[in-house]
Amino acid sequence: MSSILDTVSSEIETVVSRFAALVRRVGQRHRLSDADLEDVLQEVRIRLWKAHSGTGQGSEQIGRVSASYVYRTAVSAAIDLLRRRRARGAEQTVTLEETEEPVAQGSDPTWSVEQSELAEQLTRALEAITPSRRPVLRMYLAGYSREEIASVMGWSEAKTRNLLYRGLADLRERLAEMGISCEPTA
Amino acid sequence: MRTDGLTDERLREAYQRVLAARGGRGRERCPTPEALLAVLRREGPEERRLETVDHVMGCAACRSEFDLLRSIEQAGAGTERAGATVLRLFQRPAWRSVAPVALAASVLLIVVAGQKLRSRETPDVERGTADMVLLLGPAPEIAAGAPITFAWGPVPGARGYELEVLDGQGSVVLAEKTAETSLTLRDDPRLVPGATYRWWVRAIAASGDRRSSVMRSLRVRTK
Repeated sequence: MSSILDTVSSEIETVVSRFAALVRRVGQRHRLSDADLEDVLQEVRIRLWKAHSGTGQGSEQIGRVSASYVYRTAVSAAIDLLRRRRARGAEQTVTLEETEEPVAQGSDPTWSVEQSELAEQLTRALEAITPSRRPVLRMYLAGYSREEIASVMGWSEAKTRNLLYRGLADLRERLAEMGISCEPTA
Repeated sequence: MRTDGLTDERLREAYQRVLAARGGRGRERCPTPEALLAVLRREGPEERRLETVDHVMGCAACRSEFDLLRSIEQAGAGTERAGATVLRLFQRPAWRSVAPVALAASVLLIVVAGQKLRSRETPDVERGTADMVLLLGPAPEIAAGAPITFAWGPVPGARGYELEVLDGQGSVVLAEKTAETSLTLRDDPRLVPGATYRWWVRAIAASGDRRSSVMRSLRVRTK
């Protein structure tokens, strides 16, 4: 009995590892938190176990479970995990402030102060941007490329470029009105 | 896009500061996880999706969640397309009564094809990766009432480990944390004679990264 269960466990691990490798490959481009993914994968393992217990089928059949099935299980597990975390109120995700705090340029305090001031003005300027242009602008400022924005929104490259160009022009205009120079630095 | 004094790069750096300053605020106004998924699947009106994106891209917590779902969705997109030929293994086996001979032949074909495909994959995927937690003991069956020592191999950089024991329904019956690579339980009432459990260990690195072991079974013999 136990050795059968260990074989099942090993088969589940194979299936999950295969899917995890795919997600990690994609996740490298998206700043995916490995800890978050690990939590989801563990939930997937448990769900596969439960599903297997319900059918009483052999371990070799788990080995043949589709990647598509694992994917759907992973999405469902991720949604449940996020919901539980929010309900607990314990923010366990790795926040951007932990991973993306900009590196100060050397120890130049002037540069740091300038950046902080710019951040404040940027917040105000963004709030003043037309709501229809703001999301694409935020995506771009958050690090998304034009191609990624087009892909997420389902837009053509031309539409994305156009919206982004106008959004950035708006933003610079607002910042200029606030006294932030858009002229080339010496 | 512009290369003048206020370059795109400088704006992006400033925006990271904006996000960092916001940090982990309350989540009351955050869109639901389902709404994040709807954006990635392009479901629902564009106007609503844009509202969601506007929030997500200005909220560090939502952004992390969005990145997680986005990675799973993109990894899954390929598997969905390739998944047309798959067995539905975890559905109730009503098919058993239908055309058994033809079905047996189909399954045999799929098994053979599957084994050939699997044999081409890298051995690391089959065996797990080197940085996973390697479980060492106990044996799959133990005597009731005897001390049980769970042991596992050390993971470089781990600052602690979590041991979980699940019952047949997948519910956690025992969860312990330790900085060591073994843990001994003596006559623990949570492990009932005659029952079979599964257990696994997770290593926690100082950075917060986690690595899990596979699950292993554990049967407590009746006295």
